[in-house]
Amino acid sequence: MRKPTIYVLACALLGPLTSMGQAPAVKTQAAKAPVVSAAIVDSANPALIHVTFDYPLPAVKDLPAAGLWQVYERVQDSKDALPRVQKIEVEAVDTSDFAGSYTVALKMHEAVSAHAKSLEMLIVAPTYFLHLPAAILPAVKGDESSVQLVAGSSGKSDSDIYFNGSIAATEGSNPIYDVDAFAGYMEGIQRGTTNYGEVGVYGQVRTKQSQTVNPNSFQAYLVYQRLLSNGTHWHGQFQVPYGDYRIAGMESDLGGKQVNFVNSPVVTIPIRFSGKTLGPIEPGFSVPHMVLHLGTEFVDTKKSPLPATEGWHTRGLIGASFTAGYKPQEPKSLFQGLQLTSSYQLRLPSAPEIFYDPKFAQLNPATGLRVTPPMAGTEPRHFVDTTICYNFVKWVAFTFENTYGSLPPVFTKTDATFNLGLSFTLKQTSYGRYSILRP
Amino acid sequence: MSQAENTGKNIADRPKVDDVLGYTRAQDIACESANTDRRNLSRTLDELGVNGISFQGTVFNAIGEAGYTIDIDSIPDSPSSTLLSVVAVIQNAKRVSQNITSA
Repeated sequence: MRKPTIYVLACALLGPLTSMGQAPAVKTQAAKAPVVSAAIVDSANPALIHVTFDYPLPAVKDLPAAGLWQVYERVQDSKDALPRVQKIEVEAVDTSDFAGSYTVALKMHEAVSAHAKSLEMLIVAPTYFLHLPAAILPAVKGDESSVQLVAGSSGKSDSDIYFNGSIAATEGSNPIYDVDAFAGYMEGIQRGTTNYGEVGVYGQVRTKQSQTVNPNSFQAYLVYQRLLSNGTHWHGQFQVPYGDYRIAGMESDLGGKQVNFVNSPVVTIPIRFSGKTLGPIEPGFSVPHMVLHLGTEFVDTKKSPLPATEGWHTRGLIGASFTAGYKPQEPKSLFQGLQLTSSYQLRLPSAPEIFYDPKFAQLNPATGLRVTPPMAGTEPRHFVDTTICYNFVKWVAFTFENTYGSLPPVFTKTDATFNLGLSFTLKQTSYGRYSILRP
Repeated sequence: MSQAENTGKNIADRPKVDDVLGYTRAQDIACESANTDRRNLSRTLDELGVNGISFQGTVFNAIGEAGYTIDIDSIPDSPSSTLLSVVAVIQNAKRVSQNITSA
């Protein structure tokens, strides 16, 4: 059973900018301390440690020889025993696969202990001294001590719990508040080698136009998700598509004046703008990618300010989201990353559905406030949301957001607004629900 | 206790070769599922333009095809997950027959 691993993080890296996956010339750096991504002890042969290097890559001739490696394991034979540290000699360094994977294999004189709790590695070269990241040990049956309950997150698309509050400046009116928050959790259904998909719950709050904090779109769903094939390969630029079935969901405004029951199957098609096997790309940038969503929402309007709109109808749903960004490999002071996310949703109702158009707002003499009356129609419902997120530290970010249109159940015709705010996210160790459920 | 004694005991405690997927096959599966070559092992799914949900399922299917099994939820699928982090997890996938026997 998946641990509800929750990650704390403030806004963050939604994704990547582009380098189109063009294979750059291999840049190497001579005689300086190399950059090591990870060291992994081979689960099938614990006498092998695979060490992968990253940019700037060392030349093969500059790879540390066997005598320069220092490997120490901290072993605890039993729960009550005192841990002890012992050295393991490196017998040879196999560099034959370095050109193909930027990885060398250290052949150890003896296997890493099954009781090793940690493995520390050093390279002591004539011109530098390098302490490697802690090596990753093979899993030991029954030992879950290394399972993380809290780990780092990387932004809205990478989040399972997200909160973004901001102040919006609109032309000709007072600043207004904006709340964008969601939370979700998915759990796999598996028996042996067969995966039956995942089930989960998801909730979302979104407000756009109120002069007070008044979330006008509250959605909660029970969701089933599954890959649409058992394939293991890409088809050109397309990954294996998957389906999300919102088995039972509720849409409501905060006051509960408009309440919809929703049942909605949606197919998601991930696309990368490069169909070939990707050659080496440098860190920071990424290959542009997007997801397409096609689906239907079967809506039963339970309660509405316009009773004529109550009952079942259908919405066609088309959506797409695009993510790009840049994250420096070496985080700089006050610059940890810049991300752009853009998403578009179009809903096509089959029957008149409620909406509000502020153009028709009327003055209420009793309160002195302008009130927008509800209207009904089958006009297409657009929603565009573009967010730029600037991380000045890893877990806090400024967000600049531009939106147009609104989300169900209360569609409000609003002009484009521009928001500035701060973001905060929490996440499970998985792909963010944002990417599953919000086109 | 000498190191030689430790080694003998440790090897006996370890899964036998082929009882687990191992690094090399894990590396191939992770890269093939991300449609990339092995020089991108240090890159994240985001950088590779890979959708994590689809990737996770594809990796799980490929492990099954190879005759091994793993908890699908344990396969990293976050945009910030590197292929190496995937390899580190899935190399522990257990042979199907072994799983059935132990069950």
